[in-house]
Amino acid sequence: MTASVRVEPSGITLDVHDGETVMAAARRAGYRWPTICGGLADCGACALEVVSITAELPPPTTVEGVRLNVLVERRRHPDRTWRLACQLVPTGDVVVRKTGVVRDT
Amino acid sequence: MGEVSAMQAFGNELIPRERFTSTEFVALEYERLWPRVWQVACRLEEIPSPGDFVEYTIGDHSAFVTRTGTGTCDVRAYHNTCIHRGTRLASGCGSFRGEIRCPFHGWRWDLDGTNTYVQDPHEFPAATPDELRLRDVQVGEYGGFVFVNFDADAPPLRAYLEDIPDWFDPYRPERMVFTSMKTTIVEANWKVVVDAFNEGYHIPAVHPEILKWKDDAALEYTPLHTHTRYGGGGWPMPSPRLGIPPEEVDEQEILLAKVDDLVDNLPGYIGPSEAEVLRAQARELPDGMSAGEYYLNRRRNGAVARGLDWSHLSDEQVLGGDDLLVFPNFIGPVVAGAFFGYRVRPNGMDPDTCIFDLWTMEEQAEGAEPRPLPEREVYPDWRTHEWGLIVEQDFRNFDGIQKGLRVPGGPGLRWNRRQESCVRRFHEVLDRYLFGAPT
Repeated sequence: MTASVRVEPSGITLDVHDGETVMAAARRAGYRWPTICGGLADCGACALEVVSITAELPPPTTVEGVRLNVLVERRRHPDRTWRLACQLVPTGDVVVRKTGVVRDT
Repeated sequence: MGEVSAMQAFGNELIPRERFTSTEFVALEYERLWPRVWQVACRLEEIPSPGDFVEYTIGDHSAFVTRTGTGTCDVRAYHNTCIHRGTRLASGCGSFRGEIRCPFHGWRWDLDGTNTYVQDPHEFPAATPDELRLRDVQVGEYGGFVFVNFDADAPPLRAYLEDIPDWFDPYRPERMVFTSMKTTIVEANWKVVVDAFNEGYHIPAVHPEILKWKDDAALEYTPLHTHTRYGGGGWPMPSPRLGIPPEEVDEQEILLAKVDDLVDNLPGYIGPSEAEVLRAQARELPDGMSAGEYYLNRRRNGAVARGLDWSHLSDEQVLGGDDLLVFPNFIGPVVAGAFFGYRVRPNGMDPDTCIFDLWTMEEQAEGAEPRPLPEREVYPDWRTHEWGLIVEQDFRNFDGIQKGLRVPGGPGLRWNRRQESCVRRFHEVLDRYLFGAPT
């Protein structure tokens, strides 16, 4: 079964395979998702804002939680839900907000 | 341990790690570097009245700087040792209350170093007044910083500084006053610390948050003859490393990220008189205005309101400033209105730790009532104090660098051509002093 992730503002829609992270799904589909550390939950550059969900998201792993705690966006908007695309494995359809997701050339 | 001559960096593609880890190298620095270079001992504002003093130590060397009169440059420095039996004359900072007095046998000198009292002088019939003088250490002043040089034959400070004033003068360092003075011990060789603050190449891995507003790729590196400078890239925009298309850039978010990061995570980089005002303003970016335009506009208007004249400063100097290294051990970013300076010294003969001072300063309007000197904070363990996220990220990094450098079998280090060019220059100049390298 796959989940679908819609990315605002670009409108890109990704099909995410079972057990796959959002970042991995984007790469497989030929998109570049912002990252500095390459997907190790170190840099926070891949952080996305969750706009809406159809099913509860799995809770952050320990490493994701540690990085989210120091995320500058989260400090500024603590009322919103922030996740790391390199760690998040969605189990239902999700709409997220993330700038900088572009076709890999 | 190898011969120290094999530890040269100059002319080598791979840099010997022993420069950072060997006690022989520490000893060579104490012999050939520290006794010959100008070093920042204190600020004039630390010794406002005649008789006020500050002690400066580097290894076994110790000098004290004291004010002798009320003129700006009425300052002298002496070797911190009694000419009778060698006792230290000054410790830390304080005031001599008129005369300098040795705690051992009570001999005294006036602030100009002339002996005024020897207990039972008939016991020293041969001693001439000249022999009884305190021994001078060369002293110089630039921008309110008091420098000392233990070499009596060293060229004057102004000649030594070369092009530093060209870069520093516009920010009016002489009008800056301390907003904090902190000292701690860092678990790394002093040169590891200088090197880390002498490039922006580490920003993506160590300070990834700031890439949201910091165009690290736009930093320019300017190795000078003896000192180094880098800067530029101040216009608030995401690093190209993030690959955000221009149409997706949210100017309000960038502005908030920059101001919040600087105020919260690098406290003192923007002076306390400005920080919270700027933070409040940053929440109200007018429609159609870029983060950079608004940041410039608010900072320049705020300066006028505080009585500061920034009309001669370029936009780049108001946005991002310059990172300067005054060789060998005084480094940090200066930006319109404030200076964030690090002074780093070796810690005895230990190659693995160093004494680290963080001095933050703010520009005051001409003729303003001087801000009182802040408390001198000393933290034997840096982990017991909150320094702000960005400095703590660097501190954590230092520990790992030094431990890694000590791992046997690691190859020589390598510096990249552009972004680590100031690091290379620093080591080449060091080799000028240590090995006579033709730099």
